[in-house]
Amino acid sequence: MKKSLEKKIKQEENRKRAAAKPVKGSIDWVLVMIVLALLVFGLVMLYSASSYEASIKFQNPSYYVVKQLISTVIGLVVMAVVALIPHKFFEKIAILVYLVAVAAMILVKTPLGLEANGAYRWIDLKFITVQPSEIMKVALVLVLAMLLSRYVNYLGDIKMYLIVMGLCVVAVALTVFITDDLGTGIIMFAMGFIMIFVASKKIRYLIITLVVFLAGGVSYVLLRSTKRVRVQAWLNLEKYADDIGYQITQALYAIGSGGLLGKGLGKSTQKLGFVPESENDMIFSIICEELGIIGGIILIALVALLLWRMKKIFDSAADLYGKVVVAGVAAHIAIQTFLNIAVVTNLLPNTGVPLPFISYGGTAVIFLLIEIGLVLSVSRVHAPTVEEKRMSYYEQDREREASYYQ
Amino acid sequence: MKRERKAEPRQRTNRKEDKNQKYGRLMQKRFRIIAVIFGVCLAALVVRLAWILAFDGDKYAKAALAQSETATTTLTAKRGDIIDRNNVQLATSTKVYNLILDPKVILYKEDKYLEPTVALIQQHFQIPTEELRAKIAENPNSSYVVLKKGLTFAEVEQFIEDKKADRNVNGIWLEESYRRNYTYGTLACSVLGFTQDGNGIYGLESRYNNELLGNDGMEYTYVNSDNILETVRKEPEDGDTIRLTLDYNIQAIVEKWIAATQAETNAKTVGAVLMNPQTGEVYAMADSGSFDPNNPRDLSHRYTPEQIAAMSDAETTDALSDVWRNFCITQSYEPGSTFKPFTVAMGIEESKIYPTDTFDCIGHEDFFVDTPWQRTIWCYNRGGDGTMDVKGALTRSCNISLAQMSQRIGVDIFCKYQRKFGFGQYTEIDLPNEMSCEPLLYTVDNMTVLDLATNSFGQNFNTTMIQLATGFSSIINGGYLYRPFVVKDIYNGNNELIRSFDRVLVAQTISQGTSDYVKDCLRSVVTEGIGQAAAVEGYKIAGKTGTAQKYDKTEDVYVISFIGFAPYDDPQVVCYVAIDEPATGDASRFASELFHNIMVEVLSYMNIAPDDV
Repeated sequence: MKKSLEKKIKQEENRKRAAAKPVKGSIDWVLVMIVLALLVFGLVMLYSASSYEASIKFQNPSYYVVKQLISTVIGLVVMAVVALIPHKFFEKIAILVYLVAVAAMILVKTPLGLEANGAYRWIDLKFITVQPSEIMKVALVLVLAMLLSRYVNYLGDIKMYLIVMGLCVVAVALTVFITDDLGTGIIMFAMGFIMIFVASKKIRYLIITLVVFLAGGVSYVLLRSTKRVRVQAWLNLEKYADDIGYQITQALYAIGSGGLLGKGLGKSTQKLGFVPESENDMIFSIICEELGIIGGIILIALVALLLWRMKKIFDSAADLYGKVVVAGVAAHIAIQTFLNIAVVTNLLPNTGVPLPFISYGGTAVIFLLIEIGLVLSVSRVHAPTVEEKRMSYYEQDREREASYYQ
Repeated sequence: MKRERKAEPRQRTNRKEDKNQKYGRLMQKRFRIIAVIFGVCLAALVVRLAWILAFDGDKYAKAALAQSETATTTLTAKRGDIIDRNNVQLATSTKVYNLILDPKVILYKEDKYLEPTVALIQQHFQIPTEELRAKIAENPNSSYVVLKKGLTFAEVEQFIEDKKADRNVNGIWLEESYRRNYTYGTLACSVLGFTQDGNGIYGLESRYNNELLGNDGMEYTYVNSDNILETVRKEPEDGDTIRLTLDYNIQAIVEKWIAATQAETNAKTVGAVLMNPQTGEVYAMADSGSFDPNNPRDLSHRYTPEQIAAMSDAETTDALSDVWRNFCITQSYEPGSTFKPFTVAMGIEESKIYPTDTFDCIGHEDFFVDTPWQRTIWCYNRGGDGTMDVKGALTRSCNISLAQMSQRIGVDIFCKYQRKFGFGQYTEIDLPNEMSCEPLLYTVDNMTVLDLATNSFGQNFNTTMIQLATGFSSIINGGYLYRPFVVKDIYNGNNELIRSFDRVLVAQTISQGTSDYVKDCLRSVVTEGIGQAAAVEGYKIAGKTGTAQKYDKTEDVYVISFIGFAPYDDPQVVCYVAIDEPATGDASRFASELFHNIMVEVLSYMNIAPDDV
């Protein structure tokens, strides 16, 4: 009697466990569609925004857009490959990827490094130039996700916390001090912060870190004159309209002259040499000039849609690792989009970060698509829904019945 | 053993699943917070965009527009020439260069460009390097700083070559522009007028501004539909050349003698109009109030520096407009005796008087107007001219006889003919600011017999020189009133004739017979009457003197004038001269002499065969 009861309980447990098994499905095609929409929108706007400058610099109006198209195609292929690999694999190679990223960062300081606008941010691999900070963002997502999911119940421990936060701080420090890229550093820190916040039950260390970082960041900005003037220009744009605030002033002119509905695709005049980096950090201003703030709002809505879809994937992810990865990628895209547009509209001081999926930049789009590939890989396996659980019970019962009749 | 090994992984899976569930729920809660924050951030961006549009949109749009406009360059069109009837150039535009500094380009590669550029500018244009450096430093984002204006080709020729030779000279360029040049200075200034900032604001320059202006070209850069950067250059279309009826030589002769008379009589103004009575072409039109259209605002030829310094703004404006004024078409005055041929012509034409009629002059005549008191008008010769016929009345210029004639003609006919001859109406000469004098004429309704009498010898109503010369032409050419004009042809920038003006018949005033008779009378004025000083040896000159008292002035001031023509049988040129307020006491001969002096030279210049006198 006791034994049979025990057996029954065990049977029931097995039945439950079988029903709770992660379900393998297809990748999230809605996410793919949103990403493709963003990419196409981005390429069209990049062509419009860059053709003038390209025809002056390279006598070829499609110079930038062709390069970007090649990177996008490469990125889509890599994304497909990553999406097909089970995401557990990336958990295993996370440490390796992180080390590669750190090495790439250091390579910037070697003769392989490329200088542009007074900062070393690229390494030249002869056949292709790579921006190590973009690799670092992916590496950070992978390694933090691995640690946070594997040691999720030890995160209250100061040692564990310091290891996780340490990896994040190393990445941020390398980015800020080697490549002199404060904007990307801010993105990495915020990304790591959000990932830890999502995973960690106790957040008191996190708050302490945030306070320390804010203090450190503010004093860093105030100490370095090149960063300080940007804050001054942000506070008093008109006074600096001819020098340090020129870029933002011109961007605001573009947004203002676009009005509600814009001048029409291709009809921007601000891109004709007035808005510096119109194909890069400032592309959002050209979008607003040509398509109006309606165009800008549509772009923001597309990003919001992307984030909403990621939230869905996060909720249905079968394991903690998958969840943290999705959280990291979502945080990356959300923060970078916000920072870029906030800078262009002078809501924040100029930090110089590109707009995800839209701005010109080969490494950036490839690694962004790798991140999307990771999310898609997570989306392939999801926790069973109520319906799926019910189906599972039903099928198990049918199987058992069938075995009785055998 | 076997059981244990089996149990172990099961237990681990259990733990893992518990962890998954427990922390999965936590993460979901936390991520929801993050998602809300993201949503708020993105919404903030949308609000910010709307904010920019609502509060600063217009300001930014205007600023963007303002800076994009400077990106296009205007290529100034050459203003058309003005030439006289024999293609002598009176006004032309010469190409000049403006030196433009582009600090933005220089600062682009400051270490390379700055030194050689500044040095070259200093060498060629004597602009101190410190001044240049200051200008560059002050306008780091400007591409258009004017350094010098109106440089000639000779001044910039060497600079262009030196600039080509040194590739590091950048951010300095020459902008082509035009400067209006009046070849003969003051010659025909009142007719030609002048320009300001490329637009004619007086005289012919103003009247024919649209034709002379041409169309400015443009050079701008844009991205075409294939997204290729293109520079488009729309070549400027040069303005039309206008050819005048004016003759440089005749104009010069007239101006020479006007100046002489002005010096002799010290009159307020001396004016003269020479025209072809058969067509209305104006050969010369001048007055003593001349100015240099190359420098129209210079008053130094009229006033002393102290006087100019003492002038208020309003006084300067008045002085300038007085100098710029074309006396012959804008100044109204009472014509005096030069009107008498008109009265005779209308009387004969309407058969109210006949050549054989005789008139008695006792020096004055009384008129009973609708007022109880009588008004007396006086003849120039207070002792009385005695009895004479119509011809005699004109020859002696007898006011009383004319007044008697006018009483026969009557108000209706007089007013009708006065207007038929063009008085009180625009002649529609192609010059701006013409005066019609219409309010200064009596109408049938308000003209009394006294007014009729005074009008008959040219007092008590006003006219302009061009009106009187035009009407007079119709009297001597058989009765054809032609519109006077000064522009004969218009040629486009390629020197192709695009428009030609011919004589325009406005009205038939009198018949050939009347015309012949009045001409005969006018001839006798010069042969035996009071206009003998006007005679030119070898030519049958005919004409009429005029001395009009200005009633609007308290002291005795006069406008003295003479209008005459030659040759007698086939009139080729009508010359009308007027001297406004001569300072000399007995001045009546000056007008005849001025006419004489002009006609001696003009007739010989025009190769008009002498009559058999």
